[in-house]
Amino acid sequence: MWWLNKLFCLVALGVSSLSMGAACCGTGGLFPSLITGDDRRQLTATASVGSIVGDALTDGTWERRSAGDSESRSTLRIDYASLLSDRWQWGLSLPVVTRSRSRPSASASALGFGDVQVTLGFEALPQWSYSPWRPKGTVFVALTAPTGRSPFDSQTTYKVDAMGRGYWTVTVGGLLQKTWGNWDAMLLLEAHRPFPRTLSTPAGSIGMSPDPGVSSALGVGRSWGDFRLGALITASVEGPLRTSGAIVGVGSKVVSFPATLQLSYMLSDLWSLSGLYTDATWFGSSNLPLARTVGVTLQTRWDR
Amino acid sequence: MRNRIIVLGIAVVLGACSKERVGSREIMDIEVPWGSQEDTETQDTTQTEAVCPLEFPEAGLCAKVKWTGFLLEETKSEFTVVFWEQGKGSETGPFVDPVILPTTVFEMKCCHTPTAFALVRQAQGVYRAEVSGLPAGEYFHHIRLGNKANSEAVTSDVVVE
Repeated sequence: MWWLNKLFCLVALGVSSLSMGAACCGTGGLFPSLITGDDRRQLTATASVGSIVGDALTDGTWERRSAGDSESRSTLRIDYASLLSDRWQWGLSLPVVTRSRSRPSASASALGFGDVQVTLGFEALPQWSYSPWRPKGTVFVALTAPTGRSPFDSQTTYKVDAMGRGYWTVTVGGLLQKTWGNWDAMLLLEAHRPFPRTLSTPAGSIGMSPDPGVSSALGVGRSWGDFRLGALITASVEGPLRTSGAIVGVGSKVVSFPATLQLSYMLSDLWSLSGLYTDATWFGSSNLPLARTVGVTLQTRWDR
Repeated sequence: MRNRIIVLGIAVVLGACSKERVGSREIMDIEVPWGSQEDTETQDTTQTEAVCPLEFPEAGLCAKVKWTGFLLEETKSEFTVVFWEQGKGSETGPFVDPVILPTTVFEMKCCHTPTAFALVRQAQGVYRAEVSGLPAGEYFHHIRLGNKANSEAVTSDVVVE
């Protein structure tokens, strides 16, 4: 079963990388920090750099940024997960974000924390023995705290100091994993509910209530010894923002389909390294900036 | 780069103003002509709109917004809004203060994200706001009498470039 655990470790790097694609442009689907292998504890560091290449409009078309308009977002995210018991676990995600934008007339940059997330997970479908059809499954609930400054609270040019969404958010979801020989597949589903907040402005109080959002990720991969090549596509829908009070209105939903290619390598039984590329322009999106992102993930684990 | 401020809701009025040769006054107040070539084609606006560009019927007031400078994402811009009594004044005066303090909100059309700025009284019936930090895009520009949910408001379209 050691090979199965190794495969799950490589797949786990793919799960950790999901947050990169989802967080690039402010969607609420922060995928949780989960132990998916047969480990007691794991620590993951993901460093990524994304370049905004265009903007998807509300009608589904997108416009490329001009040559003189350069915007990037770099994230260092630390994920920690640990068992609470044989099947219960908890996790913590801490992102640090750098954003910058430069246009011929001005430039701005900022560094700050993103939104911190705490996760509670339960191995609902344990893999006590190999089964050709029964997947390994983990369900989870997560709480995201608005520790990153939101666009509504931003004071800088281009709002580069906006590192988070600005809402307390509860997420529930599940992760299914299955391997067949050297092949593996995973499916992650989550739904999240941002809690409303009130914005105090010179024009009065404005109630801000985003509708719930959902995300899903489907990945496949193949392993060759200590290497694994994987592909992942994520679908994310954020409900529209509803405002009340001084301003009453309903915005547009945000839809994105970032795709990720990933190459992973087992440095040792307890260390693994992964390089990944995420592109949000391949498939249709609407109402958000579109980024191309490269990243590196390093993970270490502690045996049970 | 397009160097223009598009104020769609007000452009109809400005077309009428140009008939009365008030348009030249606006050109002196800002760095670019009001509106676009298409806007000048709407010069068949009614006389009522010409004398009351922004109407607050409950308060019995008219108002006019005058922008200074371009409305750009990177730079500060400012506008002045003047109020007068309907039928007793015009955009040149005499101006009156609304009973309820006016406020202003920009609401991004795509996402309905609101951004409010303080309207500061400069003189009787004259209020000024500094606008900065708005991401590029199309907005609803609200001028409101008060800060309650049911405050009387007038809305026009603006574009931040």
